[in-house]
Amino acid sequence: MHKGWLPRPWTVLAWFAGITLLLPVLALFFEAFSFDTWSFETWSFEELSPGTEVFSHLWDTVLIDYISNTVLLVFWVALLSVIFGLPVAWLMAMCQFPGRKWLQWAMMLPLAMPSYLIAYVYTDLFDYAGLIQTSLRGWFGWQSPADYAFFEIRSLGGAATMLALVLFPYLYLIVRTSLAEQSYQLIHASRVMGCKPWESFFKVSLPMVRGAIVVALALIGMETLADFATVHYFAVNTLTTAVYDTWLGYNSLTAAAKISVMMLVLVFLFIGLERYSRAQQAVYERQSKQDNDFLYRLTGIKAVMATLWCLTILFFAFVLPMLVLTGYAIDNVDVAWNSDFFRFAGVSFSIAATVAVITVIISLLILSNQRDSNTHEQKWFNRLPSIFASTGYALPGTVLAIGVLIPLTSLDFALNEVLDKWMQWQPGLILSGSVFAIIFAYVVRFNAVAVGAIESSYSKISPSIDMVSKTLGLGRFKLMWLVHLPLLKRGCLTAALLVFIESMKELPAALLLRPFDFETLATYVYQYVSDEQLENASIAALTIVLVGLLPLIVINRMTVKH
Amino acid sequence: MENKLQLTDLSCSYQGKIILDGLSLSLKNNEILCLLGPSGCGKTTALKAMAGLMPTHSGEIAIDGQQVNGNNIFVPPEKRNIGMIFQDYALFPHLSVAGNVGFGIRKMAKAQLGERVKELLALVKLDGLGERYPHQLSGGQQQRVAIARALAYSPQLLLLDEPFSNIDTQVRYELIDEIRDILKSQQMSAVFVTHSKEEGFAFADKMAVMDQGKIAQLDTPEVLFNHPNSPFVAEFLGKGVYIPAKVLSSTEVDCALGVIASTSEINFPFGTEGELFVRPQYFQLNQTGEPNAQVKHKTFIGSGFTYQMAFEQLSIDVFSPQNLPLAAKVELSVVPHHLHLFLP
Repeated sequence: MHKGWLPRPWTVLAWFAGITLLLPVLALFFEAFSFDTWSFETWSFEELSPGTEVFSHLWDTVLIDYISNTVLLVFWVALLSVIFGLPVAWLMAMCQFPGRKWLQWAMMLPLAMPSYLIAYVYTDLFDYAGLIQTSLRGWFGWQSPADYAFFEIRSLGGAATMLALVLFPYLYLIVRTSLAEQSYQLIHASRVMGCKPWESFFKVSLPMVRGAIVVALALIGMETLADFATVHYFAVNTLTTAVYDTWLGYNSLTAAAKISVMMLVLVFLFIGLERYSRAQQAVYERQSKQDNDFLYRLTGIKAVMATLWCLTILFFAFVLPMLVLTGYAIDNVDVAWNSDFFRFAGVSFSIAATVAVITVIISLLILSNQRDSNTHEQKWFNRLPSIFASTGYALPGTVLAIGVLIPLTSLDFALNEVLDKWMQWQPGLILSGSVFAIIFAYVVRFNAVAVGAIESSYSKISPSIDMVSKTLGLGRFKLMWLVHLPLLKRGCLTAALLVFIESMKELPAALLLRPFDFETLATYVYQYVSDEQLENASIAALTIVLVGLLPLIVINRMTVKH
Repeated sequence: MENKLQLTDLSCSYQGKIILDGLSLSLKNNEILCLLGPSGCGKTTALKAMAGLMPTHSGEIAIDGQQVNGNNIFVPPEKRNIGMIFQDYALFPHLSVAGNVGFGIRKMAKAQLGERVKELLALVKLDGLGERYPHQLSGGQQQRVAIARALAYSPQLLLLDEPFSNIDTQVRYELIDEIRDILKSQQMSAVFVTHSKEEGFAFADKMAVMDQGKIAQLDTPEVLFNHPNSPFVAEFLGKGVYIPAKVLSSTEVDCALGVIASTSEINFPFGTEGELFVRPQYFQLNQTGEPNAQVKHKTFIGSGFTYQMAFEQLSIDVFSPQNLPLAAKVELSVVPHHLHLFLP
């Protein structure tokens, strides 16, 4: 029974979990701003911490370039994603053409492909020593790079293309859904009022999906900011690589935190944009649903072009890289099928499983507390932990790693001091320097996924179920155990699976946080990518792609059921 | 007078199913025609075919004497100059009311366009709402915007697809009257699709009852109601019961309820046996007469009661203003009216 002002133990636990998961974000801001002394009289810093000096040095030398590279990269990825994804979304939502049924699903496949893997594959093909240029030189008798012009794949444009090839499905999926929700009658209405099909597209369809496009581009922008491996591999310096280099090169957490905060500003900008556009969109999506029919049935050359467009994009974004990876694996099976692969797969598996279980438990705790609110204030108060516990998802992996290191190192120092005083024992960096840091980081980053999946499952349980249970005399624990959990089983499984898969794939946070001589499957693969020897880890790379395919199957099954 | 719209032997199929099966009809200038029928009879398909939104299989469509479908001719919807009102109004959610109304107007100076839009909003009594967005309007107001939008570019023909089905019943018939007046004032020819005979009666000059992709009967609402040419039309336009009967003379038939007089001549030879179709309002309940039927069920409908009467093996729907108790035994008879006799 809830007495007076005293909060219930569940609420206290939920708040504790929420704030713990928010800690990295708080720590980043604290670290970035706290150690300088600002003077209002001179309107400048009176005293600068060593981290700030590193930061100002970077600011004076390279940081402007890094920022402009980041902005340009986001711009090009967004533009290319629209070029790849928008026609596909429109074709799938409005037209019938050969292969539509399976292409509709297949166009999601590139999401499973880590961008650094396709970056590697295309570098292998398009580099000076790659298959394409070598063949061209052979055919035309060119001797050196001076004899011909060929694009440089290891460039900002190259990185943007690689990222867009694997990120455009976000735009495709979101815009397709939005287009499909539009009533065909709107198009029909514009047609009878004198619009040709292309005019209908620009005057009716496009303005109505503008919001969806912005939502998708905000997500794509966040993913682009979060990418570390592709730009690092291509040696394109962006803010993500700056965070990485500042920590590993200058050993300055403060400078890394300052750059991280700059990235966070961009990330929050994207989140704001996404939320705003979603809210705007709600107004549009009240149209009646359509008859089970297609607006345009494409035939002849138009149908061929539609199919060809989708197939071409699918080929370059998924089929070709997959074939090349499989080729590596077959040719190098004796090297790649080794004990390291199994060892690191085992490490990744156990980390991912642990993270999945922890996030599901935390999400259940927070959400059940949130559900058990009666008054308006209580609802608001109990919602905060779930917001806190979902913020980590916005953090790019490198930024997250810095955010995790700050509180954990402080905690380690404090712990060592205390233990030394009482027991004359200094255990070392037991939190920040161990697998604990990785697990904590993953929980912070992926808890939002679990909250989302379980919350949607929770929302399907009618509130009257709770009321009837209470009238039948069930207490909080029994309600949870006997009623909610059985109903949430599917949601919890989905949550666990999604978190597991994300954790298997996560790379940049692990690169920064892993203890000495410690590898996950992803860091193991990336090690070989940067050493230009992916062939030797090709089976591990294929494993990561296949694991990434799992959520697509889950999503597909969920949509088929609806 | 030339026909505004002419459909000749129009056929249309979808996924191997025949939807329109040799449909022919014509519409005169300034006439409002209602396509009435149960769902799946092809009425909406016919409308979409007229608009050019649905490919046809064979047959011809001409608007204002100009062929738009048939003989390898297909004029796309944007070239037909027709107005269309959709069931959900299909207002563009990203455009204001004024933006919606002006959408179909081409090649007009901006100031003039503004004037025209104002004029139309006044016509549909939405003055001053031009800046609003569709989601800020009530269903009836959205409907008016749709009408204004369709009239804005002076189409040759207006097509309406179940336009009143989303309107509350309280205001539906007011709106129907109002929109009919607007169309008449604009001398607009229109085709209107509905499954509700009441809407058709109220809105249309002529009605075509459709059945399985064909027109069962096309005439004025009064003729259809009083002189249906088939049991299907008779039943679709109102309840009734079939009573076996035999023609006695050119104005009388004999049946289990006795001899019934007809107010018009019966076109069957004496002695013909058939089924007499009688609507509830042509029965009479007489408490003082020789009881031959019993009240099984009654429903109050405001202007009176509908009774379900047990008469011999038959269950007969009867309308009467009198309030009779359940199980009351009364005399059931038929008042003289235009009799419909259908041969088995």
